Amino acid sequence: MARVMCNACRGTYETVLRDGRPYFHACAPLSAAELELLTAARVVTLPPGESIEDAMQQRTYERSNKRDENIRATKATGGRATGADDAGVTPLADAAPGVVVVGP
Amino acid sequence: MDSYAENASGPAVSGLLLPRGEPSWYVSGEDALVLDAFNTATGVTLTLCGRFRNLNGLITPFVFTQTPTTDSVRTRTVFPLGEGWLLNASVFNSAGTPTGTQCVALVRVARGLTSAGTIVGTLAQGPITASQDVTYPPTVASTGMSSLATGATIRSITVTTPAAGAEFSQTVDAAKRWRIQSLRAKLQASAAVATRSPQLFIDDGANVFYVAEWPAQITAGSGQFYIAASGTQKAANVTDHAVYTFPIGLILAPGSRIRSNTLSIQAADQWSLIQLLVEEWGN
Repeated sequence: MARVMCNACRGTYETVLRDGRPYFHACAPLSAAELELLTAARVVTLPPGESIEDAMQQRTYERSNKRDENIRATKATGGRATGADDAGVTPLADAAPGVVVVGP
Repeated sequence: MDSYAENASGPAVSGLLLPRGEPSWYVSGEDALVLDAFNTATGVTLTLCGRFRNLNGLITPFVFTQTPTTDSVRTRTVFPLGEGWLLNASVFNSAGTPTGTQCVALVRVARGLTSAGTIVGTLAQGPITASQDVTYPPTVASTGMSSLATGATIRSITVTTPAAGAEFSQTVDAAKRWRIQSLRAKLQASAAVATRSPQLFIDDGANVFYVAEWPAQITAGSGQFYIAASGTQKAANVTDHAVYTFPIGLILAPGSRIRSNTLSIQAADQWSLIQLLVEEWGN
């Protein structure tokens, strides 16, 4: 089991779940806060008069470097690579466990 | 030759003997193996393989292929076998990725070596997927039942913790179907002044088809646990947990997502402790 950070969305996750099965990470769509930054930087242009929140209700904004490890998992049966320029992951230290054992 | 005896399913032909208990289907030289497929998935090639014991006792493998049409109309291919005993046969998708009941195959025996032959028996039938073959003798997953008819696996999934200011999202694994039993997650609001309203979106990978509106809003500096479970009704606070309205029996296909969409989320807000309990089937 290893904890990693996705270099595309900077989400963190364990590569193996508690049941011993692999975890297939897929980047989330952009949040309103992320979309706001991109519109301020003029990377994204919204339709005239449309607010960030309206846009979030009407469309899904995906990252150009989105990673989806499920695509890699199906490669043997025709899946594509995770992303055209896979951003990869960065190994992290193990997270503090959610279960704390105490006592002698 | 104590270890050999006449097989119950095969006639006495020239004194030929089969191993005791070995499954077999006697075919005369006038019988043929027939593969019928009803398919809607693109790029599918079916392979029919097995072993055949001829009159000389020689066991030989056979491999035939069929490229079914994608219009759900029957595609029939006839494979002559000769005279002897069919010991086993399997059909699997050697190309393409049919899911669910997109590709259903039947393995039959016909009298006559053309597609107009008379069907005299059905050996096996069922949906073909990446994880499910149709076999003779039958195996558990190919007794004509959908993979959904088999028991589900219960999985507890720790979802990716997003970066600050980002939403969480969980995609249904490839070639799986999920029925979400429950979800728990925490949103911690930063000091930035705003009223956060976290929705839950469920989509097919692109298009949203269900939205659970926020059961509770949170303001700067506060934290809130949110939960959703099959059949729950919206409640602002049940022992410190806000409860989403969530449908009963919603089964999600591969690539579908359950994700948050927080109105007025701020750059330093943090979703964490995101845990899902799902029932999982092969798709």
